[in-house]
Amino acid sequence: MALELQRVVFGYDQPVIKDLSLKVEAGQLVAIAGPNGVGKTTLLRLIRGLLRAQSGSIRLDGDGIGRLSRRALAKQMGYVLQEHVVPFPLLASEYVMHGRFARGNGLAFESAADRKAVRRAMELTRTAPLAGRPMPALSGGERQRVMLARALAGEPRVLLLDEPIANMDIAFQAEMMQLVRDLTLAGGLISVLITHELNLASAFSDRLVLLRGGRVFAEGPPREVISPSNLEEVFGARFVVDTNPETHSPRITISTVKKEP
Amino acid sequence: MKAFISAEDPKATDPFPGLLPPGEAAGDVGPSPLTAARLLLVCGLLLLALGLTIAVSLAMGSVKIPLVTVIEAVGARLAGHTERIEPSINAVLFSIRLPRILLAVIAGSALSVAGALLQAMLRNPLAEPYVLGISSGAAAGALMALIVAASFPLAQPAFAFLGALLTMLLVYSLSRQREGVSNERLILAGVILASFLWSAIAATITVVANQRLRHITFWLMGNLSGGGDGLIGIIALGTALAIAVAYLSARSLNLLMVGDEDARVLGVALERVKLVVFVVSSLLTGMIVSVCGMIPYVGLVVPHMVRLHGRSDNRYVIPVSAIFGGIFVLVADTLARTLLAPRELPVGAITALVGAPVFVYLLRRSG
Repeated sequence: MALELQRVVFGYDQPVIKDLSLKVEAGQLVAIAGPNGVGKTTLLRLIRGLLRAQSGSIRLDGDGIGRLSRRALAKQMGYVLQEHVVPFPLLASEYVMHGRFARGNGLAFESAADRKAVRRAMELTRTAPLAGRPMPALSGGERQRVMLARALAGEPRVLLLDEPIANMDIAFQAEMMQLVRDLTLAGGLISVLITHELNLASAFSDRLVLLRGGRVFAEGPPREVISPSNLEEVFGARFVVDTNPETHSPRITISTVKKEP
Repeated sequence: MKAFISAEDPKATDPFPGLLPPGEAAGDVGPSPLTAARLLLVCGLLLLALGLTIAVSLAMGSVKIPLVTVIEAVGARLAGHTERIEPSINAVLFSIRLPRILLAVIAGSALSVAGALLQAMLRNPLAEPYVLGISSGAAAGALMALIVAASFPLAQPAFAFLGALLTMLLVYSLSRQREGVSNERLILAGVILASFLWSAIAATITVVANQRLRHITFWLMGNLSGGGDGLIGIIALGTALAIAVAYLSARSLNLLMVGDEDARVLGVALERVKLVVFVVSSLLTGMIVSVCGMIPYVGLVVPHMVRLHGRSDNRYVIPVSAIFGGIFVLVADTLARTLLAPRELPVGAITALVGAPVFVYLLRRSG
């Protein structure tokens, strides 16, 4: 079981993704980082089938994404976005139930299995106490975890996360990352995470992918990928990299902003 | 052996082994889920309230008829014993008051459902046929029908439907940006189109100065006294069908309330649902405006009050709004014809007096 991107090319007026290849196995959490505008979000939209690659292929277990129906894709993939405004007093439990849509049969009311999946998803994300509260009343961090619960309620095999921790305080960020990692391992999920939090990505991901200019610049275990020279190439700034004495994962500190010659 | 493995294998029942304490927790998280039984119970109670409101409204008017007499007369009528009813009472109740009452109920249902559909699709609790200028488009269409095709029996609702649909497409495309529909632009586009259409309607009425168009200004402000002018049967049928079609998309609309892209990714046939909302809400608005004129803010107030009860699920909001909307407009029209009797207020004035403050409240809350 794997998600496999081969030589994917996509662009609007200008090419955004140029010849990008990537493979994520079940039970792996892969973090993708890179400067703003490098095409990280576009990449996730391609994987979710919202955009069609101009060349190359995106396969899930060998099946091309483009050949799966919207509904079939929805059953396979759960995703979490950075921020989500819900303008109606939708309850958190109703919102999580949306994750079951592709598994339902249209109009019928939710079955006991649907309700059980919702309960389990909310317990896993520790959002069960929020179930009866309207979405607009939740804090950014709470909404993020409820969104993760919605993704899990659909019992996905692929979990896609686009900056899911951007609006959280640092303790929430670590908790969310730990949760995603545990879920990935326990559930055998194929997890792809986009983030700017290099320290957390290094601590929790199995592999780290640095993008530059629409291509994979470096890829591998975080401690191999995170080096001052790689980071300087990708972000155009200077970094100090040492080792976190407790977790032994790379610790990144920005040192100076690079001056253009 | 196989049975042994599946009994021991935690994966078989738990897709995330080890993360949750073993054993199944009982019950649901959050409030009681929506079930068919619960929905039927709420609808049944509301239908009872609607029946009661109809009876009270039948009793009220220039000729006071005691409620008991009304109920006896309705009972006799339903049992097919018309001869037991006093002829003068029979005429007042069933020829004068009932058609108007039924029209009020149908108008309330149609406008409330149109509002609920537009709000869900546009993700904007302020969206409503009148606010978005769709009612004005329907009125312009109906006026056009009066001028160019007055002799065709269904020309008015048909033209009103087209006018509503065109206005809606225009408002939608004007308010659309790369990131989706913008709330401010949506309301602004609606207001501007409505004022343009109003001016066009006023100018047309002045220029044409036709005897037929004399009563139009009164009609435009919302008037149910016509009782549907013989179209009530077809409008009742059309409204019921349109609401039924909308109901088939109710669960998809729940996901649209959260976001177009979300809905698509979660498996909703986005384009089909949007088409249903466009056509059904234009049809509902067009039919009602063509016989009742404009009754503003019904589609805003009613779904809002229904959601206040704690559920935003459209499988609940659509049918409950349909019944509650009927009660709402019937009460408004009963007040319109009795408050200053023998003079009559336009029903649109009553709904606007209630609706405009609700609009302001929702606007402040969304800002």
